[in-house]
Amino acid sequence: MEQQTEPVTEKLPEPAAIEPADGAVISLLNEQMTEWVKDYKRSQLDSICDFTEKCEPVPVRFYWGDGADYTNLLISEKPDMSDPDVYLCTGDGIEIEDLLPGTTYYWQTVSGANGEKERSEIHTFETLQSPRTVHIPGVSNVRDLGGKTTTDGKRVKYGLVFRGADFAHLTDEGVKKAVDILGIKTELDLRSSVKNGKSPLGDNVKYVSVTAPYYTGVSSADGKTALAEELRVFADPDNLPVYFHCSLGRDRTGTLAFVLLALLGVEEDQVYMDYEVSFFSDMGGYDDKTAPSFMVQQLDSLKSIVSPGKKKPLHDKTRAYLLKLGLTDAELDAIRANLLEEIS
Amino acid sequence: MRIRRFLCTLMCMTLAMTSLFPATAAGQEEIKGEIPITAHDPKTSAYRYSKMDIYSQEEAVEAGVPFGYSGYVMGLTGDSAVGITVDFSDRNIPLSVVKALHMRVYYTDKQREVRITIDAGVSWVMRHEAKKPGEWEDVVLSNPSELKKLANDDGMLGVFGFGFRNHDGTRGSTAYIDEISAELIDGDDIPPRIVYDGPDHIETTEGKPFAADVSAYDDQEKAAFPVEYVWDKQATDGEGNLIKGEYKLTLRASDSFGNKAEKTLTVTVGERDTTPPVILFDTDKIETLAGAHVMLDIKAEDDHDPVSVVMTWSDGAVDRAGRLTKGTHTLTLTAADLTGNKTEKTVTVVANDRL
Repeated sequence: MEQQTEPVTEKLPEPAAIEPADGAVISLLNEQMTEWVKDYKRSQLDSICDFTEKCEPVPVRFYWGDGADYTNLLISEKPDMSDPDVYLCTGDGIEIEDLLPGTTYYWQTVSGANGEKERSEIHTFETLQSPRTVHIPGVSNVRDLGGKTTTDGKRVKYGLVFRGADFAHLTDEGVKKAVDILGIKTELDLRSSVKNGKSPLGDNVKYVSVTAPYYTGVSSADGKTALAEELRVFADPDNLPVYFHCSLGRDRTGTLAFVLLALLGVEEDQVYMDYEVSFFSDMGGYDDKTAPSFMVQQLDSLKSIVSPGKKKPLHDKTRAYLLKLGLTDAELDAIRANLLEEIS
Repeated sequence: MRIRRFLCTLMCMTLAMTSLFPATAAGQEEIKGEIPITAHDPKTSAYRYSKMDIYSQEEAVEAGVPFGYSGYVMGLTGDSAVGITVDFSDRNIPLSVVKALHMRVYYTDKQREVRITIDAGVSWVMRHEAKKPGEWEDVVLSNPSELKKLANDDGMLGVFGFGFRNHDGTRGSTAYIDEISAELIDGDDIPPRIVYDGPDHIETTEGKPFAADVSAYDDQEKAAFPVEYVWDKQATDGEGNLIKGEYKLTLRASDSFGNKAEKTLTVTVGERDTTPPVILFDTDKIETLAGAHVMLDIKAEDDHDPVSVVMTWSDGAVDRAGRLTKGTHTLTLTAADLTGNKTEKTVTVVANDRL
C-alpha cells in the first residue's frame, strides 16, 4: 500500500530585518527615563532612587546582516549622506553610543569581501527629543546641555557644555572619552576643597576652580561673585567645550546649569527636567534629607532669586539679575552667541 | 547579631609601623601584614609629608598624648596636610557586607574636622566635624552611597585616606588616632557558589599555564571571591607551565565569613600542542573613509585554546580618538595560543576622502 505523506515544507528563516528600521523613532534613554521624559511633570521622582546609574545613554543597535568580511557603516544627518560619521567594523551589526537626541539620521553600509564592495540603500530613522546623557567611564551623572530649545526659537548647541559628578573614579578610558572623543578643553571645578589643582584630564585641559554657591547661596556676597566667575568661563570660546562639576553633579552643578540655561532662554520645563535627571544617577541619588520633591523646592527658591515675579520671562529676569552681579552685556551676549544656534 | 570582624586597634597600628620602618621587636613580626595602613601615593596624596608615630601606652604618656586612648595610639604630625592612607584591598571585604567604618580620633582645638577621602587633598567622601575639641570622638561612616565610594575595582573595600583640617584653613598640626575598624553586616553560614560550566574531566596539553573559566560568587554578600587552585601533586614547572600527567585539581573559595566551598576536577595533561591558531579574516585589503572609527573585531580559532587577535597598526594610522588618518596603512593581525604557537596576517587599509 502506497504510503502518503504530507509534503515537507521547509520553513525558511525570516529574512533578517535591518535595524534601525526605516522611519523608526528611537529613544537614547532607558525605558524608565523615556516614559518620564514623554510625560514630564516636575517633582515626580521620589520613589526611583536606588543608587544605581540609570541615566547612561542607551546605544543604538545597527544591524545589516550581510556577512561581509568588513563593513563601513556611514551615519549622516543629511539625506545625501554627506559628511558622515564612519565606523569600520566586522560582523553583521554594531552598537553606537554617542548619537544625538531629537535628530533625523540617514545610514547605509559599504561592505567589502574578496576585493568587491557593495553599497546598501540609504535608510533613515529619528531619535527621540530628550536630555542627552553621556557615558564617561568612571564618572556618574554626566550630560550634555545641548539640544534644548529656547523660547526665541533657538537651540543650545550640542557638545559644548557638559555637566556631571566629580572625577574621583575616572578611568583611563574615561580620560580618553572626555578629551579625545568629547574634546573637553576646560574643567570647571565648583568644589570648595580644591585650589591650585590640575585637571585629571591632563595638562592640555584648562582647570578653573570656583567655590560655587548652592541654590539660594547665590544671593550671598561670595555667591554672587562666584556665580559671575563661573559664567564668565562660557563667554570665552577658547574654553569650550567645558565640563563643569561639583562632587555629586547635582546641587552646585545644578545651580549653575539652572542659571546658564535660564540665561540662554531655554524653556522652563526643560531647565527643570535637566536638573531632575540627576536623580536617575548613582552620585546624584538622594537620601531621606534630599528627596527630589524637596530638592526641586530648592531650585524653586533659586528661581525666585534670579528670576523673581511672574511678569517677564525667565530669560529676561535672569539676564537682569546677572547684570547686577557685574557681568556685562558683552559677556552675556558672548555666552549666548557661543552656545546657541538657529534651528535649521 | 552584629559581627565586628575587623578590628584594627592599636596593635594593628604597630603593624603600620612595620611597613614603613623595619620592625626590630620580635613580637611585631608575628602580626606583620595585618595592618591596612599603606604608603601615600607620592604623586597625588596631600598627606605624603605627614609623619606617623606609633606609641605604646608608656611612650604615649611620655609624648604627651591626651588620655582616653586604649593601648597603642598613633600620632600624626606635619607642617602641611596631616593624614594617613589605608588599604583594605587584600582583605577581600565586599562593600556589600560593610555596615560602617569606625574611627576614634582626638581633635585638638586647632582642628575643625576629619575627612575620609579616596584622593587625599582633592575631594572627600565624608566630613566629620569636631564636636568636642580636646576630647576623643568616634567618627562613623555608615551612609551606603558614601561607603560605596571606598570600593576598589572588584567591589571590595579599597584604598582611602583620613585627613585632618584646621579651623582657619591653615595646614600643619598634630592629630591622634586610637582605632580604625570596619563593622560588617550579620553573618551567614552559607558557602559561596563555585561557578564552573566546564567538564569534570579536563584534557589539555603540556607547556602552557592551566586555564579554566572558574569563579566564585556569594549570593548572600552579592560579591565575587577568588578561587584557589589546589593540585594533588606538582603539576607545573618553574615557569608555571603544565607538566604531562594525570592530576586531581581542587577548586576552593571562601566568603567574608569563612564559609568554604570546594569542587574537584580531574585533569589530563597530554603532549605539547604544535598547531598554530587560524585567523578568520580572508580579506587582504580594506577600503574605508579617512576619519573612520576603527571598531574591527577579528576572530581566530585554535584546536586547543581560546585565542584572540591582536591588531597592530603602522605608525600614524590611528589618531588618539581611534579614527583612521588619511592614507594607506598596514594592519598586522596576530593570534597566539597558550603554548606560544603563533599566526600572523597583514592587511592593507586604504583610507580616502571618497568610498
